[in-house]
Amino acid sequence: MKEHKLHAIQDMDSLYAAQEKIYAREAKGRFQTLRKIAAWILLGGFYLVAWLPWDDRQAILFDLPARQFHILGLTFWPQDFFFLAWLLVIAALALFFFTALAGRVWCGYACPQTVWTEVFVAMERWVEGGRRDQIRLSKMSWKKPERIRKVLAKQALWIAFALWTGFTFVGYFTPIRELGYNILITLSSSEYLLGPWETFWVLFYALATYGNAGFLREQVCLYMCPYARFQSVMFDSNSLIISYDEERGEPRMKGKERKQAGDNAGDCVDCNMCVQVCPTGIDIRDGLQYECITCAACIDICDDVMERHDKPKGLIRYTTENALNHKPSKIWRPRTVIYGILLFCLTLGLALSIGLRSSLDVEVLRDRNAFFRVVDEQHIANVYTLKILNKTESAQRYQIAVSGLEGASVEWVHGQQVAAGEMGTLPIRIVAPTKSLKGFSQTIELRIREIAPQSGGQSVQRETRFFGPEAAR
Amino acid sequence: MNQRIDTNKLNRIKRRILWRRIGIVSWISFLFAALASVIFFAMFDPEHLSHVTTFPIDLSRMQGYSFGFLLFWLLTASCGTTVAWMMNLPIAKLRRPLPTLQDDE
Ligand code: SF4
Ligand code: SF4
Repeated sequence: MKEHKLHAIQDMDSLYAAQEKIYAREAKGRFQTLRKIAAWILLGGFYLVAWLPWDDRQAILFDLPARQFHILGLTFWPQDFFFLAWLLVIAALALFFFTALAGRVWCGYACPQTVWTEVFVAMERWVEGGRRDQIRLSKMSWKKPERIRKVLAKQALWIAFALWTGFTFVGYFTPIRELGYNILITLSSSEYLLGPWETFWVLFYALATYGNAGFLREQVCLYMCPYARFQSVMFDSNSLIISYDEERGEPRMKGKERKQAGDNAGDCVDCNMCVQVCPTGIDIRDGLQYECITCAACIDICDDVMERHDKPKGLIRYTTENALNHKPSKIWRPRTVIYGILLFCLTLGLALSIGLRSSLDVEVLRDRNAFFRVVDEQHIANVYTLKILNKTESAQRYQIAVSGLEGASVEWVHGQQVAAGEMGTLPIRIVAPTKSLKGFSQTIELRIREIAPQSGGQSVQRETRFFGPEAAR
Repeated sequence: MNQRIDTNKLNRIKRRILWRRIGIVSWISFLFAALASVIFFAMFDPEHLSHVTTFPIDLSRMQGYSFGFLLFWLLTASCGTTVAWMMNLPIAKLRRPLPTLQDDE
């Protein structure tokens, strides 16, 4: 036990020591193309959707100052918080499901960390050239103009891109056109139109992007990401992994040795390309490692190498532990079936409940001061307070119908209107003939309905109690 | 067995460990502060809250959210820093072999 611990500490040490800056070689191939497409779609979506209009507002706007979230035609209020929590549960479950099924596809193709890093790395390659040029540049003296020029160019690109990212991010929380306009005015004149917090968040997010994607890169995956640490729990021997085919590849040999060995040599030509392309600096031939973010660069480069040596592709490939052990891989197994069913039900439930969500919410509170009031010899009144939340985007008037008490009528005490997106507190008075009371108290139903011209005429029903004198009859 | 301790390398490793911990603490505490802010501000409107504070403050919603978040972050980060600090056993206790000059390049 003790020894075990010591080992762990030493391992940690070597891990810490091993992390020098990694100059990854660029790989090209079908998976890298796929990753590029994914990056274009995701980032394109991020940078463009902020500008998308919807009626007279932004299509997606998390309007914090107004406490409303607009998503296309839908508007959510803090009272809909429940949906957000539900959505988070779905997201977590989806991550479980896809990890069990396809391993760390999230990391390789969709994680913002990966996607932004890809862009920063692409810019770096564009300015500084490939791996060899980058290493040469890093060894060059700072007095050489080439180094200064290239480093400045790269930093300028990175910073501009990071700032634009910060601007877009804040543009999801405050209308982006206005924000852009304010920035332009602020930059071009001495007038400072930008709020201090907006400035702060733009810079903050820009800095976070720059730091994570430009500077830390895969170190975020290795040391900071909780998912990278947890994902092994969601794995089983049927999950998709990227693996080196040891049976086929070993014994690895190169050059002369390889010629001498003839048919005894494994397919791995020991060119070390898979190590050079790896952004996390590992050797996939050592087996499955938690550092591997399944970027598939090693697959693409190895396929290239195999092709050049006239050998079948796929020495490194997407596979499963079972497949490597010559066992069938199953997609549907208890784990994935359960995740799948849960995911389906929860998603359907969310869609339905958002679709059927009513545009008003009502709470009925009884007057605490008196059970009832005597209006005249034949009538009794009860007073209630209605808390009506108007979730529509226009002012609404409401109508109430009472049932369960013969001859009862409702009066609004101070009006019946609630402004858009507000919670109105409206007192009402219900008057009923004394003779229709059946005892000390009874249940009545209130139906509250929207009657404004633009409303959908939605209504909700609430139960409450109506009190009268004991000897009512 | 004349193992000389390479203090340079040791310091480098120590520095790296330190930075890594700073990274982990600030990032994880950021995540939890964000979560806390979302839950908290879904329940309470900062504009209403600023009327009922012990010390009167005048905050707009945007300022309220930002301050609230930063306060949460300060809280989670202090907690994380303290935990990381306490978890960090004194190095001598681990009695691990220290890196030597030989294994450096
Ligand atoms: S390890 Fe974490 S940060 Fe890295 S790609 Fe995967 S999810 Fe993203
Ligand atoms: S080992 Fe993993 S992280 Fe490294 S290149 Fe291969 S797939 Fe990418």
